[in-house]
Amino acid sequence: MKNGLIISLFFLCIAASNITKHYPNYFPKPNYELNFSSNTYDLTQLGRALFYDPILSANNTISCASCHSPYNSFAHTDHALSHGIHDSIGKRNAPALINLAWQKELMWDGAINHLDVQALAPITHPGEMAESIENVIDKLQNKKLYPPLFKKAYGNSLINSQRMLKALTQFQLTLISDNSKYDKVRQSEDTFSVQENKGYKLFLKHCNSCHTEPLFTNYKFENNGLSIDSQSMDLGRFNITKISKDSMKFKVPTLRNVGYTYPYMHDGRFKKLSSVINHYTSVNKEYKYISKELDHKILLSSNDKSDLISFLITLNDRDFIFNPQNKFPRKILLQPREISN
Amino acid sequence: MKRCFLVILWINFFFSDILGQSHIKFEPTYESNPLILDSTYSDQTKITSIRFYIGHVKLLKDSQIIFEQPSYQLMDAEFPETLTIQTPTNISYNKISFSLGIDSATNNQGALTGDLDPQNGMYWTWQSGYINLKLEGESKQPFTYHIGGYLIPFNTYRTVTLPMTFNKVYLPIDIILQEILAVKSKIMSPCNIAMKFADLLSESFFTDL
Ligand code: HEC
Ligand code: HEC
Repeated sequence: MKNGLIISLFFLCIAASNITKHYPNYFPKPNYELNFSSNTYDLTQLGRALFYDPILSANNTISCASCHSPYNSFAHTDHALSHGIHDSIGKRNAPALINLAWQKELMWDGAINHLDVQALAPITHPGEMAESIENVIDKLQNKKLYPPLFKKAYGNSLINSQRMLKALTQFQLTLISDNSKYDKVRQSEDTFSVQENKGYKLFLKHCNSCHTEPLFTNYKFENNGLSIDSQSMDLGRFNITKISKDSMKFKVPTLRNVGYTYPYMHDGRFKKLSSVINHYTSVNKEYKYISKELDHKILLSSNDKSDLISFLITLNDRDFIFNPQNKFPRKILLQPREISN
Repeated sequence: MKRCFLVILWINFFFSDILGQSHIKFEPTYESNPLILDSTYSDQTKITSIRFYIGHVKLLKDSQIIFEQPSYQLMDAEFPETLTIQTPTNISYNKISFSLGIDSATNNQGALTGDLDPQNGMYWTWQSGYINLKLEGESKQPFTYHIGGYLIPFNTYRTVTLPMTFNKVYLPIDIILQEILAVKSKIMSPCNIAMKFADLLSESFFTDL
């Protein structure tokens, strides 16, 4: 009996020490296992170094962070369309990289099914980093910096594509944004202003069906009534499924940190939130495959529009944007011996 | 030439019954002979590369599973040792079942290693998914077939079941090409025609001449 008690206490302690909260209790269960304990610290740091190191590109000039900047919630804001190697221009706008642990399919059209294999796309894309996986692994093996980092992360210094990719995944899974004013209000640490509250109500009525709280996306593919971009002729989800009703459907993007991620939409066609809202109030509801959530007219006065924007701004998470843990890892990547090399 | 090949097969059959085999060989053939890469055949066709994934190999005696190997193996005609699957010696079986390609669960597993390492060139980087089979060469004009796709309606994963008396499974490339070249010389992504090609491939494997 006494033994039984001690044993169950023991298991209770183990269970308790394994439960580390990485996100608020009103978030759903993530799709990826999150482990940010001291055991995975070195793996995260390896992933962070890889994310910021242009070694992943053919001429060592472009890193993941060239297109995904921490100051823009890991989106890209200088250009509507992403700029890659030799200044080549991509066909889409780089999305924010936050709360990826909850996302099932990646890219605007869901072309990628797992965060691990996402990095293969930019690395090998001729207009992005234009490098082969083989060469990347070769370069990592031959740069003094990496074998010790892989050893710290994995226990030995073997470098292969799986280890590189899993490290990038681990770093990107740590990019959880959950400390906006909206979150503080939900946790009763703050309150909305009158205007923000009005905006919240409008949001719930018109936008929440697709940009569903608390992650501000339903992670589905929807057609929000944009006309096709005549340059890229990008049909979105149709490219993957080849089903006509999927034509012009794109992944519903999260609106968290939306104040930092301009320009907006898959092709970056809108620079300002006000233009986005004006789009939603003027959507052509006759548009063939438009999602049913938008098949009616959205009427908003100019006051309504400012209220809605003031609510959207409460989704900005300054703590995330300025979190030193997410930034360029100077200590690792700017080691003196690397500079003198 | 053909007759000689048949004689070899017959000898093979003879021994396999008595000794039992310790491996199964997948053999791409051309005009009823083992395929030789980069050689120009009488029909002016040259195969430069044939690579494919075989997995979930099961050897059965009637309907009972005698041997099972759930993993995937990347077979590449350029490296003949990759065309062989090791099996235990002294087992007797009369049926084989295997998959051509990678199932959708495995396709969703993220970064894998060994034969499934994306570095092997059998992975689409711009749209997740393994390439189940690559067949490249020229026949008057160049042809490139990259057959893959795991998402419905373009799931190209196929299961093949065949009676098995020898320890060889043949894939007649010339017959396959005859059918597909008439339709298309380039397939590079999951689509309807890739589905048809996957059907054709899975129906083309045979174990008896
Ligand atoms: C040249 C600019 C560029 C570079 C370099 C780049 N990306 Fe991206 N990234 C993009 C664009 C554009 C998209 C959207 C692509 C699409 O939808 O087809 C994207 C999408 C993503 C996504 C999917 C996000 C989502 O919500 O679906 C992830 C994850 C990502 N990138 C991570 C990375 C990593 C890791 C690297 C470095 C290995 C990297 N990116 C390098 C431009 C870039
Ligand atoms: C039918 C579902 C749906 C509804 C309802 C909807 N959206 Fe969207 N929203 C989308 C999709 C899909 C996109 C991406 C479209 C694209 O890029 O082609 C998007 C993009 C956006 C973006 C750009 C985000 C970025 O990072 O590029 C903003 C901002 C936005 N929506 C705000 C709103 C607001 C505000 C409302 C309510 C007035 C709303 N949305 C209603 C589906 C919807």
